[in-house]
Amino acid sequence: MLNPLIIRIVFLFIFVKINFASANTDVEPLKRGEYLFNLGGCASCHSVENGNPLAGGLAMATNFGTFYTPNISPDRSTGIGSWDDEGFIQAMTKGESPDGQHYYPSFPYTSYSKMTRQDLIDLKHYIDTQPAFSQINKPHNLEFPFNIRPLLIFWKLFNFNQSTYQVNTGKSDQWNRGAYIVNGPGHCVECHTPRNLIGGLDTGQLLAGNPDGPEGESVPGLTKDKGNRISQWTSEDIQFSLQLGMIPDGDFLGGSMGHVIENTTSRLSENDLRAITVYLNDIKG
Amino acid sequence: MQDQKNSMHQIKSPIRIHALTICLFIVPFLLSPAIAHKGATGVVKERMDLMDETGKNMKAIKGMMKGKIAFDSQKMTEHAESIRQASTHIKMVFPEGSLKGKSEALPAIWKNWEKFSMLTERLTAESTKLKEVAGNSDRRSIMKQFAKVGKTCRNCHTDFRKKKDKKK
Repeated sequence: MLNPLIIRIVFLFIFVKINFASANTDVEPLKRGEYLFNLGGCASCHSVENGNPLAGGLAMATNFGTFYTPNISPDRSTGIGSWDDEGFIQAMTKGESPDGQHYYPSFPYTSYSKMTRQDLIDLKHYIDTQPAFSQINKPHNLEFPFNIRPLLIFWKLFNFNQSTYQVNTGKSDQWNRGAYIVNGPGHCVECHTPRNLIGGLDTGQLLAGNPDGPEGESVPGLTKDKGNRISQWTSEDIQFSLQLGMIPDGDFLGGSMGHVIENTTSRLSENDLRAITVYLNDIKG
Repeated sequence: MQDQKNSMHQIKSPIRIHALTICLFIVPFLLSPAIAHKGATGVVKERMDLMDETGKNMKAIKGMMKGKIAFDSQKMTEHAESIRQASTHIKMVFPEGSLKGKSEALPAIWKNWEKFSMLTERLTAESTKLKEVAGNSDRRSIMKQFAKVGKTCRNCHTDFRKKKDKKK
C-alpha cells in the first residue's frame, strides 16, 4: 500500500509544477517574444533611420574598423528567415552562424548567451512574424588582422564565457531578474563596462563605465562608486531616467542611450525596471 | 560706554566688509547654472544657459508631479510657458557651424536641419499643450503631457548632442 504521505507529496509536487508552468505561459508567446525583442534592443542596431525595419545596415565605428549590422528580418535569402530555432539559438549563444562562421562581438552574443532557451525561442518566433525585407548585408570594413574572421576563435577563448545565466541563490528573485536583464538580454554591460586591448569586456570592472565607448562616447559607470553620478540617485531617480530619460538635474539623456530608452527601457514593465534598480543598487564601486 | 561701543564697531566693520566681499565672490558661483558650462562663451554660452533654464523648469514640474514640491497649477503654467518661450529661441542660438569650445552640439544639426527644426517646433507644440493641461485636476493627463515634452528633449539629445563630460 502506498503511504498517504507520499501520495500527498506527489500531488503537491504536481500542483506546484502546474502552477509554475502556467505562470510562465500566462502571457501569449508572441507577446513575450515582442517584450524580449524590446528588451534585447534588436531594433536599436539592426534598423537605420528611414530604412526598412530590421534590414540592418547601421555603421558602427570602432577602434577595429567599421561594422555594418546585418539584416535580421525574416527574408529567406538576405535575412534570417531560413534559420530554424536551433540555428538562431546557436547564433545568439555561441556567436556562430548556422553555416559555422564566427560572429564579431560587436553583436553582443557574449550577453545574449545568458538568455534562457525559452526566451530565445519566443524571441525567434516574434521576429518570424515581422515583415521581411530583401536587403543584402554590407561587408564589414575592418583593419588587418581583425578582418580575418577565423581568428575570432582565439578571441572567444579569452573573452567569451559561454553559459546561460546562473542564478545567485544568495540573492532575491528580484535581484536575479535584474542581473539577468543587465547581463543578459538587456546587454547593459556591453557599453557600461570598459574593454581590454582586444575588445573583450573587462569583467573585473563590471559596469564601471567606459571612457572610450561606442561612437567615441564616454559611457558613465553604473556602480556605487562615488565618482559615478548614479551613485547619488534614488531608486526612483534611476527608474525615471530609464522610463523617460530625465535625470535629477532636469537634463535629458541622449546619444546612444537615447536609442536604448526609446527602444528598450521606456517599454519595460515597472517590475523589470524595479528589478534592474535593485540589482544596480547592489553593485559596489 | 559710548567710546567702547564705537571701538567695538570699528573692530567689527573690517570683518563685515570681508564677509561681504566673500559673499560677492561666492554667490555668483552658487547661482551659476552648471559648473560644466564654465568657460563657454558667446552663442554657445547663450544656448547652454537656455538649456539649463529649460532643465530647471522641467525639474520643477517633475518635482510637482512626484509630490516633492506642492502642486501649484499657476506655477506649473509658468514653467510650461518658460519652456515654450525657450523652444522658440532654440534655432536662433544654433547658427551654422557654432561648435567652438564647450559646445556639445553635433554637426548633424546642420546636416539634418529639417529634423532639428521639426523637433524644436514639436517642443513648442508639446509645451503649449502642457500649459493648457496645467490647470487640470486630473494629474495623469499632466503627467502624460509632461512625458511628451520630455520625449522631445530626449529625441533631440539622441541625434544632436554629444556629452563632453569625461567624468565617469
